[in-house]
Amino acid sequence: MTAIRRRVWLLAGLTLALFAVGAGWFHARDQHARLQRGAAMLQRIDAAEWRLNETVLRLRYGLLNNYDGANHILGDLRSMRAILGRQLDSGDPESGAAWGSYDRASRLREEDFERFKYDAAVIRNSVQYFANDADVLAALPDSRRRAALQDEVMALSDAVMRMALAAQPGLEEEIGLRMERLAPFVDGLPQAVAEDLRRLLRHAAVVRHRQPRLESVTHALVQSPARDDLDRLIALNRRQVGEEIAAEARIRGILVFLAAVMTAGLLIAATYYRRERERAEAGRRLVASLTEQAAVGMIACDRDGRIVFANPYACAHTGWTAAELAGQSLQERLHAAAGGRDECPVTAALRAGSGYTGETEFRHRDGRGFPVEFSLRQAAGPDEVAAVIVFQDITERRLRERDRRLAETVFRASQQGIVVTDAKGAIQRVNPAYCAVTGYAEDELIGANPRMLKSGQHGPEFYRAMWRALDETGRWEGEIRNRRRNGDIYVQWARVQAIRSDEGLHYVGIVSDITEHLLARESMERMTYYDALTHLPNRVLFLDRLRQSILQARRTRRSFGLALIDLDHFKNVNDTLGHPQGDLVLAQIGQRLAAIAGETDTAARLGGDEFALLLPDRRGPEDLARVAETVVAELGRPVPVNGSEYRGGASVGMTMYPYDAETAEQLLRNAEVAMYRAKERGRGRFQFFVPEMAETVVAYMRIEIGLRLALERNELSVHYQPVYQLPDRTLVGAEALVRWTSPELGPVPPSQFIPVAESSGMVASVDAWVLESACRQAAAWQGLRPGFRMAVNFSAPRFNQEGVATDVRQVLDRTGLDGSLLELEITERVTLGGGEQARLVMEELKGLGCRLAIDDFGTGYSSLSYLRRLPVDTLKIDKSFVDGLGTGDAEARNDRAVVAAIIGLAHNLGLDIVAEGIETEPQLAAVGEFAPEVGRLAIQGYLLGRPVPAEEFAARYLDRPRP
Amino acid sequence: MPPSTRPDPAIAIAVLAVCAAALLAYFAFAPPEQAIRAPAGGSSGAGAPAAPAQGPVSPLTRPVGLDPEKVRLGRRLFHDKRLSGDGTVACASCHDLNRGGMDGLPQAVGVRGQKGDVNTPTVLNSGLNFRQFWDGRAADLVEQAAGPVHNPTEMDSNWPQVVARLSGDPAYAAAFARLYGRLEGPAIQDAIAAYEQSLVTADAPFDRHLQGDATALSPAAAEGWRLFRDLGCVACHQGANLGGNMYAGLGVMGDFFRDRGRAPTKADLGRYSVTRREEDRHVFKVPSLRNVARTAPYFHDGSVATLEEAVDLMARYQLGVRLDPRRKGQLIAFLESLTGELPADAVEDPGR
Repeated sequence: MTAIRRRVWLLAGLTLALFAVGAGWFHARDQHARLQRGAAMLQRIDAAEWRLNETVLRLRYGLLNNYDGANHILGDLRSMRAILGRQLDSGDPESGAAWGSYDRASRLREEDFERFKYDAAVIRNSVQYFANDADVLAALPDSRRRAALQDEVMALSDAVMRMALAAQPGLEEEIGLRMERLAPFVDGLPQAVAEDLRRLLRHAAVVRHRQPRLESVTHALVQSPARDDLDRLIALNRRQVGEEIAAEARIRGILVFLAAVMTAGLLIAATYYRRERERAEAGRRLVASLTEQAAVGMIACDRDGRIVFANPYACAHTGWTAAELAGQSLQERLHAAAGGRDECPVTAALRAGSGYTGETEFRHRDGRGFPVEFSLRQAAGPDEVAAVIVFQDITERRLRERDRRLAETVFRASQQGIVVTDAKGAIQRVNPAYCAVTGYAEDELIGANPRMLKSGQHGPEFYRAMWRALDETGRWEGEIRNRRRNGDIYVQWARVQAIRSDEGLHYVGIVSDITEHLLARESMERMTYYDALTHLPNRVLFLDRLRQSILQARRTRRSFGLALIDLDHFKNVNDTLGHPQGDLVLAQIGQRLAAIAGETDTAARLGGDEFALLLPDRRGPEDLARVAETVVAELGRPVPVNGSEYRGGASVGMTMYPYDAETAEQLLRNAEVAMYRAKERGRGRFQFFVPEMAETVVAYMRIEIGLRLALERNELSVHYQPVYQLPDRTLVGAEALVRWTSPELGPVPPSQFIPVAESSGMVASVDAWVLESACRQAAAWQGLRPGFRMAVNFSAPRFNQEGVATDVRQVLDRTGLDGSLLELEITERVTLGGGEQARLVMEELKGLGCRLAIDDFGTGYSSLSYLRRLPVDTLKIDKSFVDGLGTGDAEARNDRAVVAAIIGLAHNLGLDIVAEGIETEPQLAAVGEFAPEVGRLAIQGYLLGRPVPAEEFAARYLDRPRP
Repeated sequence: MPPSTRPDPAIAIAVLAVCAAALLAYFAFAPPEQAIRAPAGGSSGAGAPAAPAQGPVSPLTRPVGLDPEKVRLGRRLFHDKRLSGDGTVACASCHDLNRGGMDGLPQAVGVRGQKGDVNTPTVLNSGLNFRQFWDGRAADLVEQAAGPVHNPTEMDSNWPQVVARLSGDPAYAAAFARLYGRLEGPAIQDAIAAYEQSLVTADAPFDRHLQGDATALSPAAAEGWRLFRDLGCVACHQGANLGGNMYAGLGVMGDFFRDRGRAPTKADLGRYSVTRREEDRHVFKVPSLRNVARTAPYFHDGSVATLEEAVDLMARYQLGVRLDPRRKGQLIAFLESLTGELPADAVEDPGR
């Protein structure tokens, strides 16, 4: 700092010296210039002086007789003299004196010159007179006297002329003498001549009188002391100019030297200053960046509490810009008059001159206050900073604290029990409600595992499921039965949430004691819908479910069965063993019926000894008959009662929706009718409402038996129906359809034996056989028609068989058919009912390269979004829709809309379409209309080709001659 | 903290230092002669020829270099009676340009009808006179202009009074402000002098003769011109103005004042009034003969009514020659050829 100061002083001194010398030099220059101007003026004056002298001499000797020029020169001299006087004005006394002398001499000379002009003019005039009028005696008669006079006059004239030319000693006397000699003659002459002579004499007198004066004036003019004075001035000027030039050169040397020194000094200083500045700048940048990035507010203020600095944090949190804060009073800008205090504690501390640390409230620009924690330090740094305030906006912290307090309050006040455990299940916290629920005190629970509350009512599977859910989804919700401290079992609804945070994994359980609730609900439900004795649904619930089934079956166009069961001879039990024993019998009967019903069917006690079964999943009378037989058999078994047993048996009445009736009441009535018919026929048996149903059952049995034999006797065959591709109707493949011709029954249509096969569990075998035959045939036909595709139906049982994919692969391996040429047709119902399992199987089949088709599409529930998730290639539009096409009635329009919708849907999903069951030309035309829209539309039906045996198919469609 | 984006002052200082050094060096080594300019020429008398004329008389030329604005301003002032004490007399009252630049009276008549001492000299070509007034007491027209204004018998005023009166005239105020900065006595004198310098009556027949026009002079005038030289008139009446460039005593060849018979007046003292030297008694500025035919009466006292008489008197007292009527007529013919023309706008009355 001192070094810089020294340098600055040095530079300042140098600069001053430079300026001083510079000023001196400029003065010298000025002086020089003035002297030079003086010299120039002297030169001009000198020239004018010489010109004047020359002019005077020319005038004197008659070489010039015009005074304008001389006047002009004198005028010039006069004004130049005045200028010179002014130029010398500030000069030295010597020049001043010389000029004064010159000026005086010049003035005298001017006066002399006036005399000169006058005298010269007069003398010239007189000389002129002598030259012109000397012959004054011409008028006189020629005489000796005249001649003598003439001589005198001539002599006088000669003397006057000589004197006029130049003053010679003695001429003046000579002229005077001759004038005196002539004077006496004048009076004797004639008057005119005398007059002329007198005039002549007067002229001579004038010349005689004035010539000496003219001579002396001329001499004075030419030899004027002005000349000497001027020379002196010139010499003086020359000397001074010389001196000035020398002085100037000296000063100039000093000046150049000083300028060089100063320039060097300045350059050094500039370099030094620059380096200092860069260093300071770097420091300032560092400080600036520190204050800019600090996550605390920094405010510096002067002794009066005025802000001199605020960092970005301070600005951001107070809402003011740094410029708006600068110079403003801390108190005024930032003090929030919180708590009625008028003086900001910061300002107070500042005034007190002490440091301070504490919390207060600052005011934001928008007027709201916000809490801050601040510390104030009196600064020992630069004078303008008296104190530095560092503060932190603790609004967030306050909010967090409030939240935490709130959470704590909620936690403690919650009606629901809350328990927090660590990852190992050790309890970390519980709330009072939890303590209340469990009956344990808080300190008994902390550190313990909730396992201690186990009631033993849930198996290990329950807990495994719970933990799995927690591991996989992070949450679990459910009912748990636990044991209180006093041993009571209670039911709680628990929601467990795994919480992963920085502090590791925690589990939070929120439990509500729903024991009371549950008990109340259960009893209500049971009273309303369940039979208290058997715990089976009562008549109300049964009717409700029956109605539900009717609605569902109507929607899905399906059938279902209803069985009404009446115990035979039950009255005897009540009568002989008493009602309590009767109730026990009823309870056991109820259990047996519930077992028969399983999960799909519904068993109910309609009242007294009357029970019912609702069989929604049984499709045909065969099914119903089988269930009825089971019921008769099961209820025929003796029921042990208190040491004795009841062997009543039961009569069963069967009815079917929608064949027998379409309302719940009618169905029940029909079933009752059938049941009484069974009782009439001897109890311990079942009876259909419609008698023909029994025949159907018999026929069914025959088919079932025949089919079993047919598989063994190889009575089944496969027919092939051609499938064409629109729009040009090229043959792309065939659908394999199973055919059965029984030796006993003759040809049995698939619509009759397939349901039997399905319900008797033989369909899988049938399907396997068909698949193998069709694949072999398709492989064989590849030679005739490469790429020939074979579609094979896959029934639900077959599809659900374990290892179906493996079977299919083995079939493909055995037959050598490329998987991509095999299309497996599955019904909607299979895919829909199979859920995730079905999807996995389909993926497996796709893995073999097989194509998958949804058969009978449109009759089930398949939604587009569902289809999208399945790996399906083709949709086969159900024949029922195609049937309606081309007829032109209202239903046809509806069907057409459905078909259009399906085609559009499939097209959007990128699926192929097969329209099957085309039997008429209008239908074909109607379907054909869609072809241009979708591109990949295939068709099949009787119109295009019936299913035929392989040989015939090959002959008819593959151009192979019949063997 | 405001970002420091200003240019580094150190660089600025360095640059300034180098510049200063360069400047100093330039001045230090610059030849000092360059700083010197030739002084303004001290020329006096705008119309005077710079080179001495070879002949005794040179032709008149129009003045050059006059500021036309000053001339216009002077013209207005010259005709302005507010320059006199009672507002009755302007310069032009006595120096009537339509009467040869004078009043035609033996002596001038000033304010309140007061009679002056001398015959009014013509203002025409007065710029060519080497001094002003009969006794030469004023060096030039500028100095002269103040004289009559302050003379109690002429205009009887003073500059403060005149300035006060003229200041009320916006046209004057504007003109003076433009030409002189302010309205004051010296400025008025200068403007009037500028106007008077413009009053040159060039292009007289005699001038044309001098410029080579052989037909400019009548034979009588031409003979008069020869006589004018031969008789010696030209000894005093020479120069462009045929006079006005020297002093001469009245009565070189005879005592004019004794012969005149009247008691000598103050005006008769001539240059003696200025120098108080006995030799200057009755010495007057030789008057110009330009336009002499139009400036009767003659002599300093206006005592000579006609030109003929004046020529006679001059021949007798100054030349000591006898003139017969023929020669006198020829001389007068010559003198009449000296009458020239004023510039077209010289006489025009300035608009008021």
